[in-house]
Amino acid sequence: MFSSDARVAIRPEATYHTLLAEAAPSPWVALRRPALVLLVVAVGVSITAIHQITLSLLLTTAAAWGGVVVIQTAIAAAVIASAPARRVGFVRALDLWFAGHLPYSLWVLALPIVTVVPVGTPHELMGVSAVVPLVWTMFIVAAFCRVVLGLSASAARWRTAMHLALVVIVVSAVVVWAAGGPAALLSYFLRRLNGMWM
Amino acid sequence: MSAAPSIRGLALVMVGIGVAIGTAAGRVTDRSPVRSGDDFILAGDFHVHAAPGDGSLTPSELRREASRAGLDVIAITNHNQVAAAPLVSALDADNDQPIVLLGEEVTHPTYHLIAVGITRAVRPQPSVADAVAAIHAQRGVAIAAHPTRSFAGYDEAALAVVDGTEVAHPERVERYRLDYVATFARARQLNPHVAPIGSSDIHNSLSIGQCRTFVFTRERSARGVIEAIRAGRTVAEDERGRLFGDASLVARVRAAMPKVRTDPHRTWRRTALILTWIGVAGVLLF
Repeated sequence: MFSSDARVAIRPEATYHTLLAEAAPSPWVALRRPALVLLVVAVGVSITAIHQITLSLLLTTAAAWGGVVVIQTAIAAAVIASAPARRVGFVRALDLWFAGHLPYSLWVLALPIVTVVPVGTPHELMGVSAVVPLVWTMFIVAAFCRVVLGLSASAARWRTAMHLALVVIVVSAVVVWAAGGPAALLSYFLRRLNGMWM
Repeated sequence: MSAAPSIRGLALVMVGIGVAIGTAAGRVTDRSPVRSGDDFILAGDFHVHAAPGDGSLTPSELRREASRAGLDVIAITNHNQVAAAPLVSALDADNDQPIVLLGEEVTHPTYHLIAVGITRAVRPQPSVADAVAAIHAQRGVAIAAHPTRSFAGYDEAALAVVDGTEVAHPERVERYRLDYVATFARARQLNPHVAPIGSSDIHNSLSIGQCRTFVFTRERSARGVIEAIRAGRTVAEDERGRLFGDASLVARVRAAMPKVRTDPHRTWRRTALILTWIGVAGVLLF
């Protein structure tokens, strides 16, 4: 009854074994999962931002935030390409990688609710709540590395740590840039810690 | 046909219907700017964050939302960068749509300063006065952003040279709200023409125009708005509806109070949101 993405989120290792046994879709069909991620981001951002859904809003938001999918693909490509013993081709591996996106997708869909909690700022609520998909995804990535990339348990842990580091570095760089630089971000946190700022 | 594809298909149909309803209900009704004597009273929000940056939406979608919120002018003010400048420049000069000004939130550890009407990025300077001079060199105006007492940069020398201060800014903490009012009063003592400003500081959640500025201008243009702010011909409104500014201008705003929201399809918009949200969740899970 549940989608393969949902099953990957709940039982990643067993589900990846099942998916590996299935026939690989064509490269074009493999685009459906990144496309779904883009739709989720566009819908989540639009509802969170202005409680509005229109076709033009979805298209412009998808275009503006399409870089998120591109960055995720680049990180996935780095993880996959550096594992020559993987059990499937690159495109199929990328498709299966995006099958593990459910934790982040559910988080994005939950943002309209999370950000109206009357504690802290929406930015802070987003940041704190992001820990849930971050940790959840670590288990999925570890299973992906073991089953799809054919790595040993210890090698899979290293790959998972590398993936986590890449995500944290990229997200941190974007946050620092958007906040106006390291000094501006640091002063924001200091003001918050001192209870002097909203 | 198995149950899962049926549920997923139904979910996709819900997404399509939701987007269709939302698109139909999301049409913005044109509105004319309010007149008061020889002046336009333009409703503005001069502290709006956009993508690319720390805002969620592009300038074009923010302009559409501004129109829905009854605003006539907004300024895109991201932190220490103007990466959205090409998107602002690309907006057509449609007289029925709000004016979109390029700006920046000049962000320094000791102050945040809104620059409005600039053409290129302003680097944070050690002092507010230096940053204001850099903004004035581009013929823009400088507005003290959410000036609580935690921003040490807003000393007397700084408040004497800014063109406006945010006296109305969305706020949950009462003492910060009092700080905004106190800072505006201090600035008014140093410069009687300093403009009271109300801004939303919208980033990623619903609030554009929550606090706003009414600008008294002879012409409905970017230059007219800038000149009016520089001359202090504004009234600020906070989210509780309180007005700040010269008594005569406040009286004129009260007499001609612009319609705040033009949202005749609220129920349909909510229906569209629910259908789309459930639909996307269904596609993910089934």
